[in-house]
Amino acid sequence: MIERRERKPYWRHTKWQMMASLLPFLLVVTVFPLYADRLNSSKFLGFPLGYFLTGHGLVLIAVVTVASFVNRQDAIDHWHGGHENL
Amino acid sequence: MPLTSRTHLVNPRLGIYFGIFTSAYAALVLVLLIFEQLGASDTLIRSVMLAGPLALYIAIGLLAACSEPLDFFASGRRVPPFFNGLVLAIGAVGATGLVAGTGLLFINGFDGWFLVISFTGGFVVMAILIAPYLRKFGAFTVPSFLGRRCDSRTVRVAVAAITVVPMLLVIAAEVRMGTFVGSWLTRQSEQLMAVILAMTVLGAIGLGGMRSLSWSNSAESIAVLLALIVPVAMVATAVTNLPFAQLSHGPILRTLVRLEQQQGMPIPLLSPLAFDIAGSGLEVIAQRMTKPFGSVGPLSFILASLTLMAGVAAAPWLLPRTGTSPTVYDARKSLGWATFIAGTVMVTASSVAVFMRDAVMDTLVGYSASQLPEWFRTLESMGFAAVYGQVPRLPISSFSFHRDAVLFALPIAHGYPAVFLYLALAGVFAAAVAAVSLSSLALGAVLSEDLINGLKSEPAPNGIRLLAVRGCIALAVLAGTWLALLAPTDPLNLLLWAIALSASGLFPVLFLSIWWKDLSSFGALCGAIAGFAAGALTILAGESSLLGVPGALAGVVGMPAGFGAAVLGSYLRPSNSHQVLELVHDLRIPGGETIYDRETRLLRLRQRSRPL
Repeated sequence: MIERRERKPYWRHTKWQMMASLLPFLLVVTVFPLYADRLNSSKFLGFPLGYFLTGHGLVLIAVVTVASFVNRQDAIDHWHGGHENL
Repeated sequence: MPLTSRTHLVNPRLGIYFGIFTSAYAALVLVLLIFEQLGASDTLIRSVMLAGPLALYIAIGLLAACSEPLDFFASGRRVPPFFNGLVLAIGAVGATGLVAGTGLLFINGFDGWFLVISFTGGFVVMAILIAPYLRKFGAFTVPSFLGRRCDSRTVRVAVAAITVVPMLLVIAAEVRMGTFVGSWLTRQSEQLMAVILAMTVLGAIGLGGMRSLSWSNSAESIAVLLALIVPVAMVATAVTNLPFAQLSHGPILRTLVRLEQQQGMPIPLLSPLAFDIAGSGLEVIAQRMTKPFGSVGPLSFILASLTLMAGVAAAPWLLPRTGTSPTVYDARKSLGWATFIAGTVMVTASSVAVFMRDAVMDTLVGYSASQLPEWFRTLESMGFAAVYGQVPRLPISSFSFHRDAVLFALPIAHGYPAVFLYLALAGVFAAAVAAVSLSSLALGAVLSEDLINGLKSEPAPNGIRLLAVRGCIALAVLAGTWLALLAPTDPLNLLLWAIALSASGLFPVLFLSIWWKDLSSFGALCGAIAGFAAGALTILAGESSLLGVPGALAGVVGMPAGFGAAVLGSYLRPSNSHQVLELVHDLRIPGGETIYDRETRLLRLRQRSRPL
């Protein structure tokens, strides 16, 4: 069980993790489609690069974002003792 | 010892059960394939392909019947992350997202990707901002969470009334798409297919609620994955020598780009706020496959992606699923699986679109109207494709296709046996069943828990509770089906409106209720009502062309309104008691007992100790 005085640092840590996971993701969602046309002249795996990044690339980045978030947030839970006792 | 041990154990044999289901499904398809080659009647094959899997889904649902509220509303909190993610992903995408999404990517090319980004990104936002905290709280519906968090019955009832609208829209959209696909598969009337769809949903989830839904939807989702991946993997093996269509169609795409350049397809110049996606009817292929922003302007593309993402993250028909995870950690993990599966499904849909465009370029463009191949004639006779003009070498602009037929045109265009078409149709029908089950269960739970039983201070006895929710689920399915048959609207529009409404009405309040402890009950009330009203008015104004904003972008108006009103209301009437602050602190930390379960337990203890 988490101690009372650990709650504040726990939540500060969690807030930073939230921003560290979410802001880069929202940034690439905004930026990739805008540059897709310019990147389309190069190719990757045979795909036009801009198309690949907006389509497959964002899906890949989404999966990596959640995976790293789950891993980091779990580490934060354990560090502050806020994890579930299983 | 605190009562935090993992009391809800996961069934270790789930993998075996669903392995058996997958083999049975594959065996059914193979047997039908043999029967087709042996010359069995087409009607027989069509009806077995529809009825066989439906009987399995209903049987799975009936086998998981239960009579405990925790089982009925939260599947006993013992669904492992993979299955939870599978159910979430297929329930969110549904038949509409699959069929209309493929069509969008085919007709609008690059601009259809906004839909993919909103589904996958929506799960990312849900995983990081909302889902773990809702799981820690453990409420069965979104309004009961907000009502308890703000300690206000008014908030609970108001939010319940707001969530009804998007969920009804989703049910209507899925029923429309399901009846379209079902009547193609069986050649029966849409009314009959709507009745079959509604009966399947009621049979599958009527007795066991969320517990039945977990397992019958898992089976349906496996059918959806097979239906989507098998035909496209066969085409990919034939065309690119690799079965992984998602990653191997790059060279095809570049050939396509060169051919489109030779055809001189126009590159339209649009205003940044243009939003002109394909409707459900015959549409000319308007745009080059990889050229961005030919029908959706850059600003609309990004705004639509971001607001629809928020809408998916706050979707009241998806969030009750987070409560079925055994732990908060598993809830986060299940959203990871949901992101992965939704992304894979939509990327596969995009490869279907590319292979279809390749088939169009290869076998239609450049020939005269009398030389067109058999598969195009088949589609034309069904009303799903058309050709205009009598020139000897037809350009691409003389062909038009039905948006919702593209996914199923692929096996027809490559001349595969009819069973592969039926496999795809039956799978998409299963997706419609899955999405209707998910949203009608959520709607039934809101109606019974928050509007009928929620007005009393103590929960009703278990028997009455389950009776009420079963009645409300039936009511929800009937109302959605009635709406779908009454108002023939484009299902994709209905789905986009529903997501936009949940982004405007629910996302601001849900986000602030977790991340801002000063959100007061008055603030939550203002935020939900203002956001929903702004979103709904934008959609109505856009539909009656009073305002140039399309319905899918309603969140752009609704979300700021919701955030602004919630913050303003909380500053005007700050009202958080010590108990509410303590609840918010408890909500934010994964450890400890699930809040809802603890409160139910304490309530039961108090009832028992009271003298009779």
